[in-house]
Amino acid sequence: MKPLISNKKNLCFVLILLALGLSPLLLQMGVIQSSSFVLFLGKCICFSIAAIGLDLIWGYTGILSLGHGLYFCLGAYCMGMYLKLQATGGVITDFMKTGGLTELPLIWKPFNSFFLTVILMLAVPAVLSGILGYLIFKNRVKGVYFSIISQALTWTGYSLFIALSPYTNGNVGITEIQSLFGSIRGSANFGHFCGVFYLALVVLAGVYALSVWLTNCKFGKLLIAIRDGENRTYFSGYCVSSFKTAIYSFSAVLAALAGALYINFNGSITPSQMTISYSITMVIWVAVGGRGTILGAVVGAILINLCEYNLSSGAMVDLWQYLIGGIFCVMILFFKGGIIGLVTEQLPATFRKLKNTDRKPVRVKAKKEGVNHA
Amino acid sequence: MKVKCIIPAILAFAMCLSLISCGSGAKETTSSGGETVTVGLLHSLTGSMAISEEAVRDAEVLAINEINAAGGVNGAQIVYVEEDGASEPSTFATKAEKLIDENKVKTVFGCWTSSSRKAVKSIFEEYGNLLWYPVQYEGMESSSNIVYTGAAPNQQIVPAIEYLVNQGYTKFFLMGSDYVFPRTANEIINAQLADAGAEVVGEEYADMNQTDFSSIIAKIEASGCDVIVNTLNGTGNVSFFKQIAEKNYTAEDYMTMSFSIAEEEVTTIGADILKGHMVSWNYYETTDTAANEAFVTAYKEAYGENRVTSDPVEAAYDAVYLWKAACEVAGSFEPEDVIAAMESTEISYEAPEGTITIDGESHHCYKKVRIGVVNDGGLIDEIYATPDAVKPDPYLTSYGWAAEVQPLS
Repeated sequence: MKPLISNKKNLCFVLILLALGLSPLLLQMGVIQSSSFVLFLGKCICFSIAAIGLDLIWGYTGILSLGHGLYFCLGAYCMGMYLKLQATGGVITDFMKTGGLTELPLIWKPFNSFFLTVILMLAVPAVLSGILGYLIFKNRVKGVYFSIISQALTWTGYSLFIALSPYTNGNVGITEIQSLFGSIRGSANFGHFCGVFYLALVVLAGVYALSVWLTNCKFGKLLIAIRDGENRTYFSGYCVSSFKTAIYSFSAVLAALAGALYINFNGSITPSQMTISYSITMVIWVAVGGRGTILGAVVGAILINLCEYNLSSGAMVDLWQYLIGGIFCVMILFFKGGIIGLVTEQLPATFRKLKNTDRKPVRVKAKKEGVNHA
Repeated sequence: MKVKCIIPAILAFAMCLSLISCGSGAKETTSSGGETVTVGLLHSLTGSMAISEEAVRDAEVLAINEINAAGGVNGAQIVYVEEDGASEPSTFATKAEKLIDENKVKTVFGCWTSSSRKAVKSIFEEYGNLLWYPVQYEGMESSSNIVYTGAAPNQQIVPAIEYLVNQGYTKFFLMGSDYVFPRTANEIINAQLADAGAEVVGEEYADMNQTDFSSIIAKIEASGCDVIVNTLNGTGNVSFFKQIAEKNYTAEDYMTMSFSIAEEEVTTIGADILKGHMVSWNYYETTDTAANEAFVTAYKEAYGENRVTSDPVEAAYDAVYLWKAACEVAGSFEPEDVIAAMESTEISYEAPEGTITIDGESHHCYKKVRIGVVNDGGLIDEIYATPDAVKPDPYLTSYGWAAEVQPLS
């Protein structure tokens, strides 16, 4: 039964991947009219990567991080610095000059090289989260206390990035940059766009496969064990804090990867992605999609963002945040397993019930069931 | 069994697909027949900036309705699509793209903060569309795809400092929120004051959300300044002025010159506290022109007697009329034709603040500068105005002292 369930989810993921992968082609054929929408799908791909990371620590390990925006931004800024230097030709930027700098600061220099950028983009969040995770988990800080620390962390990051405006351009962030492959907007740059889009899609597929593999092997079972009975896992002789640190680091790297891809689509990054509210939004994606399933994170991130994209305009413009909030409340109250839980467990259970009531010849019982349903 | 397992998968997929298709079908705005032209309004209607940006959006809607009632532009009725930027620059970028590419708008009126403008700037440039930006800002920028209908620094900051120096103020204390506008403004002011021979006795920045100003007030007291140049934005102003009033300081003790306090902020902070303090803008609700009388009446009629007009509100209103004038000169709605018309012909409009003209070279507007003082009633009285509209100079190239504040390129 178990492998069958996971297979079915994987099938579903492949279908989503196919739908996403076909969208640029449909755009080219004229079935989808607006390229901005497909570009937004690209951003959704990045969000799903971040959501997978969050799901690994929250859904599987039971660590609720409300500060993943920090790692998302670290990745995005690393890539942004490289892209900005590409745009300016490696000389100092206007905001550095306004901040009183006369030459390219040391911290920017490695970002002249793409190779170093990729390494730093992954290493900076990995090392930072590794050190923080080690200290936090070694001291057995958990539950709501960890959530509070994670919020404080992202807020610290936000304040630092605002305060260091000669290096980071404050709250304006890094703007006026193009993607890794050049401009991606307009029909003339469709090739560039496809490059970025399929790169993101391949990364998503890789991250998904890696995460599914990780959760199915012994390491994944241990994460679930930590979630369901941390003390028992300790007593079984496992060093829980190392496992927690490892998965926290891994999810930070995924968030950074997502950020680095995201900036290619968005063309700018500001510290507002580092705020607490943005970090909580990421948690909402996972909660609505269904935590504890990798597929749920992907579905949640894509659906919530599509909803926001479509609802926050036109007639709904004043109401959309209430709507999204309403969806979130209903999901949490009635569908604890999120969309995936609803589709794989609650709906089939209802179907089964209905089928059984059809077959049952006993009249009284059927009547009772019917009343329940009404 | 197998079939039953696939059902959920199909369901999930169908949900995705339905949302995707729902997104791809560009929303057709219904028209009442006849020719129409679609424009976009892109402001924060939720989040921390909503309180400021909604007033600006209202002014744009008012102008659009007025133009439609008078027969439209080039015979076409204006239809507008609203998007919410949610006070977040990345959302602004996504929504700008959606308006341009999906709704096929001919132009967009929008943004307030510099960060949101910078986030959408390259998008407007890459698509070749046109943004009308209605707020005074720090300058050092120009784009062929943006028209700035608010003041450039030389139409607000520089004349205000000049005025203060002429009034005999010599010791300046610079105070602002910690973001790009105050930082750049103070850099300009420092250079200007050094040239004028006045002294800067202190420069302090407050966090955007700061509510406790006691340490800054202590520094002000210790500095012995005779005027405070205030570039605080948002809630910081409320806290600062309340706390300075609690110490029983009035405008006679510490005169302030503010660049982000307009009629609306006076209402929030309280006229009793702000009475006698100076501000610098291009327009006040009290500005004495026939066009302004009509504008204030129409604005209050549409949105309520207690609403006030202010400089950004007026600049947003002007933007729609300037776009109309440019479209009429171009004889087209296409952004490239409109831009070409602006660059080749002088587009001007009889605005509430007086005649404003687009400078084809810098895409900013010629505007009169007015220094005002807050009065008892919460409105602002003009105490000095430049005789003519000032030519916009976003890079301050016509000022010798500004060489070091200009950007690299």
